[in-house]
Amino acid sequence: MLKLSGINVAYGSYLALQDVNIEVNKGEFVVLLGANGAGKSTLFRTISGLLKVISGSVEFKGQKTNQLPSFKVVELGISQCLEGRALFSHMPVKQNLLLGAYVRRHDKEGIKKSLAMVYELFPTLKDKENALAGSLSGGQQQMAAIGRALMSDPELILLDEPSIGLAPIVVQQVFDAMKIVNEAGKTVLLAEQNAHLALKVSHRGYVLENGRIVMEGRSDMLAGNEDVKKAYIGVSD
Amino acid sequence: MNLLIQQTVNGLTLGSIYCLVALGLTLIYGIMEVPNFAHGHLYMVGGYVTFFMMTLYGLNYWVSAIISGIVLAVLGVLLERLVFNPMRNSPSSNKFIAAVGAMMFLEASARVLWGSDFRSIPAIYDNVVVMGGVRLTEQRLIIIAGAVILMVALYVFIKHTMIGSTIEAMAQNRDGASLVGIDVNRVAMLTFAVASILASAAASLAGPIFLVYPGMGSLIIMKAFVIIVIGGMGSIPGAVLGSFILGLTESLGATYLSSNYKDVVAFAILVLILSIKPSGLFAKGAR
Repeated sequence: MLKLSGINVAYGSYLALQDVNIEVNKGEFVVLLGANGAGKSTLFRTISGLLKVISGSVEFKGQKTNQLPSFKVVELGISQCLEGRALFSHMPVKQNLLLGAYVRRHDKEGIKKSLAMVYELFPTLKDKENALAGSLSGGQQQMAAIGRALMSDPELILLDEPSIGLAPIVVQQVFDAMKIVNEAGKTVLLAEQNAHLALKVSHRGYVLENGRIVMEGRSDMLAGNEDVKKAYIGVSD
Repeated sequence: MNLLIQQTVNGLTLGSIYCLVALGLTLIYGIMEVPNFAHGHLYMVGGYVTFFMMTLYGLNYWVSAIISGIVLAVLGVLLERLVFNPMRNSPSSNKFIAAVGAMMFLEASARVLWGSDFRSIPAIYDNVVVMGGVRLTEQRLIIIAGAVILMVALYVFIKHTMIGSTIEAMAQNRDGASLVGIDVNRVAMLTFAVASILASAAASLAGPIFLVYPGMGSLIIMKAFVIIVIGGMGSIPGAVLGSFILGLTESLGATYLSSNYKDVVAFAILVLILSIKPSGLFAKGAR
């Protein structure tokens, strides 16, 4: 469904991603592990068209997307929930969610259904629908951001470090929600540092270090790997 | 007492004109993050278009004002496409210079094309209305009513339509807007079109009372700039409140101090407000 072939991305003269190859199949839940600065966000921004590759290609459903502007990528069915959430903080939660459905703004029925689905997934959002997004707690903001990304009814959803800065119980809640979303048929690509939980819910994983993919495989296999354990789970010998 | 009411109404008139210009300036600031110094000159061109529609083509005042709005929407979009769009990823200083360049270009073009004479849009609503001992021309009431109608229309457009809310979304979070599928180019053009229509409406409303001349833009852009600084850069309620604060203080200051101090009063208010709230009355939080 999504195929990155040999992509290189640079900030000025600094090469942030080097020859990255990733493939995500329909219906999969794939995790991208990496420490701060490994290039996870750069990779996601590239998929969404916010950054351009200097070489290599990004293909979605067989179509090259790396030359397209972001809004076209969203129209094709890729939705991203950015690290830091990127909510419209001076707007009510409901308005944020409705803007998430911007690309299908003429599909009133579909929007209603998606909104009901998001409220079912995160009941707190329903209670807070008239509150300004900026006034929510961190966990609620993360839910609003994921909810907004779901409102466009994407085929592929990219989640960039949803667990960052959240209390463990909220992290669990967010991961459970993502699992439900995946089981409902959406393909999920998740970037995380929290490998322990991420490897539990995902099917496959990639490990990104200094802009290169250094390891890939099934999640249970990665979870058993000594290097992964040391670097991302924090259990050593 | 009558003098006070009279000057308050005059202040509201002035505030209404400022408001329409400042709203456009603040909207453009919200998406471009640089003040459009040429905005006052769009106001000037709007005044001329209305003037010529009435005097050269003998059209009705309202028809002329609508044509002026359409012409200015096109001009605003052209300005965005030709001047600001190519600079989207340039440093702010480049955009500043481009805006000042556009401003000079518009003013010089107006002088070459239409001369430096002062002209006046023919007044058709110059009957005097007496209300509670206060004498007003109908045009002043039309200015206030017109500004209020446009402000409400803008509010409804931004808060209650999907297309209008893209302007606000883009101002609040550019990445977020891109990632929900909002086309950055379309919003930029839309914003310039809306802002230019507001500027032309201000000029059409003000034209019969104030004069139309090539330098009128420089004067109002100074005021509008002060207003959005007072109100908080990019804030819509701030622009409305700031406009009426400035309009009223200018009008009352001119009456009770001296008309020579009119502009001094305005800038004194700016200094005062900024020393209490340095980021403006309605400063946006961290973006």
